[in-house]
Amino acid sequence: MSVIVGIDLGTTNSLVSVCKDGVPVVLTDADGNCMLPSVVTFAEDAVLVGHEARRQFLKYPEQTIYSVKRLFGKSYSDLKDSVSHLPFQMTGDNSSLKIKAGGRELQAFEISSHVLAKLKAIAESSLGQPVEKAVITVPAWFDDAQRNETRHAARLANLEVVRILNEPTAAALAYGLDTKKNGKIAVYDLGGGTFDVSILDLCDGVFQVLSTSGDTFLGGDDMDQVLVDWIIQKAGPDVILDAESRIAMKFAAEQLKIRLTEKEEVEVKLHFPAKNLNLDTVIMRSEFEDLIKPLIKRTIKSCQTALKDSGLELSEITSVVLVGGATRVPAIRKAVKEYFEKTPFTGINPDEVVALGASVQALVLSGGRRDVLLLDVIPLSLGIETLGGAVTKILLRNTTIPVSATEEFTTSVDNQTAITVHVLQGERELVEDCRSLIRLKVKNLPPMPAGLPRLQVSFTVDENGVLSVKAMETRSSQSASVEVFPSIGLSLDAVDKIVEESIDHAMDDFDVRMLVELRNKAERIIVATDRVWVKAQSLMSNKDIHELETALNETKMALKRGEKDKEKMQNLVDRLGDLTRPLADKIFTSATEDVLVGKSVAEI
Amino acid sequence: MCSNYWEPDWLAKGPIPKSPFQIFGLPSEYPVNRELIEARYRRLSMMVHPDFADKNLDRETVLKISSEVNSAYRLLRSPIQTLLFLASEVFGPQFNPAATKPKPEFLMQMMEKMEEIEEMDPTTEAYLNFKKQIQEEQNSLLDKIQAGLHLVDAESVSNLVAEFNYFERLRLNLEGRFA
Repeated sequence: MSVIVGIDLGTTNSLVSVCKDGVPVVLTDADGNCMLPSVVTFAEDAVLVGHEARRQFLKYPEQTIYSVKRLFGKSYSDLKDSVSHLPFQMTGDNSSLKIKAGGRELQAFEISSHVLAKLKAIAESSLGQPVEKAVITVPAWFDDAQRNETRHAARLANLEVVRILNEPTAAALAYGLDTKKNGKIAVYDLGGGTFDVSILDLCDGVFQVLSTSGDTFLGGDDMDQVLVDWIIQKAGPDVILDAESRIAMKFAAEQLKIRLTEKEEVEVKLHFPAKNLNLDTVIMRSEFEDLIKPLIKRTIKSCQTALKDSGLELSEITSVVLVGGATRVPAIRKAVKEYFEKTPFTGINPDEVVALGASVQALVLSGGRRDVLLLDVIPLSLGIETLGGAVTKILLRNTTIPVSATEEFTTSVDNQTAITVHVLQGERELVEDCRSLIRLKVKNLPPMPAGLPRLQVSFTVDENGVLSVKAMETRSSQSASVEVFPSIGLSLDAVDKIVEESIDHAMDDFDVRMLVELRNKAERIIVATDRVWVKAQSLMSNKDIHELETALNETKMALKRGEKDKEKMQNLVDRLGDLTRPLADKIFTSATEDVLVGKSVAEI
Repeated sequence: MCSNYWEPDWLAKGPIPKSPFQIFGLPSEYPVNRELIEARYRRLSMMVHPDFADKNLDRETVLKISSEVNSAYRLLRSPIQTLLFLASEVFGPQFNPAATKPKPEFLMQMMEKMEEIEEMDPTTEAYLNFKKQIQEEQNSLLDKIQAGLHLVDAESVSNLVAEFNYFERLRLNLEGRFA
């Protein structure tokens, strides 16, 4: 059987690992290096990867591409402002992103594929056999577009991805097998560009993810940037900021950060006369810690969300595992210890633990062991657009996969011959605040009155986290289905901020959504009542008819002026409901009654 | 441990049961034995998860079985969901909390509580107190719903569930306010 390797494709460094006689080991290159810097240089006649690329950065400042993982699944308009400090040139629009390198315009995955190809080569020469399959890790908080960019990179490097595995889950696997302990663990994973926190229940070989949270735009890179800004400020206004000086400062900052984890005080000697950069000073660790305080705070906020979603109390967490090079920073360790109220476990090298876990999963998937099972979750909720721009969630975040769910919807307009199902990912209540994944259309419906069609929408997420959507109108048996592979870039408002915002806006959203729902309900009642108006005359007393007419008119006026007062709307709808309910009892079949009472099951 | 030994007999015999209790080989009872459910879920997962499922089964069946085991587990972990399932087993289609509107006095009480949340001091203590209050109300409703199952009264159980759901909204609103 062919070997499956485990790959940690990192923002800053990448590793490849394999299980030898059941024991995971990191494979090294010819020079004995475990870590391959995720840096690619497009030199005149060759593409340099890793250490070679890093060594040559001053020679090819604009052709040296790093931190490309941060660009996965993003479009140029998503990034414009946040990557102005990157020395390489980028272009694109709101649905694409190209990086100018080697005289070409490349997509992020094309650059990453060079790193994967190099890892593949390292593994092949180390193992002495061809390597065609891999388990590749991604941040748990990666959305569909980012995961797909990872798949594209692998395909281009001639690697078959047998599983996309979440990084903190991989780390938990390595940790659990190393310590052989059951318990509930928190994995705090601060990488080069992304932050994840996952809470897992480890019991008898089953690694069950209870919750996960994070930030796809927060990592060691941001600490480096904070130091670069500090350097620029200290260097004064004369310093020339171009690709060359920026990349030099970036790598200097990285070294500075590493030295600050060992020492309380570090000398900063930077001399780059051509750029008017002459710095001879010191930086105190406490100064650095003050600078990165806001970053640390953001990670702790994600920890709170994850803990809340896990349904556990702080005291139930039995251990905390640190993952990612950035967790070597003492201030991070201190903050984690303070929040979780226990000393974090650091027994496994935080740079290697993800790759080691990936190779364990690779062994499981190749049939090499059957006593370990990962039960992972979807990191973000999935739903569809419903009337008035609201999002009805079909699968909630942190639901264990595989998972399948079906919900029934109906139309709000008479004689629709097609229904579009707009699939969204995110936590917010309104379409505009969620990430659009795909639209699918059920066509050729026979004309039916509003409320009569029965549209069954089924979502299935498989063990790889791939979503498929099926929609079927059950009265006419017309259907449509699709596997979701989104191709548009990610807006910066999306994943990394979705949950944070959704908590901030939970109140707003709740009110707005209630209002949208109330308006829809009012409209449904009006439409339904209009339809039976003639019949109603014979069934109701004059007094009741008059009362109903007044209520209808008042509601129509409220709708017309776009009433924003939730309570007023609620009162109107309640009154209409009370007045029409007896009527409905008398004349409506169960199918039309649904129009009158609305889809109240989903509101709860 | 011998006492914990259990085989899901439906696995060999064919279609996965509709009842989550049957999937887990447990009597239809509330409250459920949480520890037993956790242990059986792990055991079931080791057998039905696509990574380990019977290689002779087609992909669709594997996904169906494993996602239904996951759904059953999720249901049994949630007290209200478990009770809802039992209630619809006991009462059939008569049980329809979605179409039930609680009494006006209750709705007034809810409106007042909503306002209370909006006007609350933003202190952790106030938040925790209110949260505890909601939790107690919900727990007492769960007890009443459970008792209602044996009284065979679909309407009053529907009403209790509707009330529980109002408290759930209240809880979400509270969390939104204090996030």
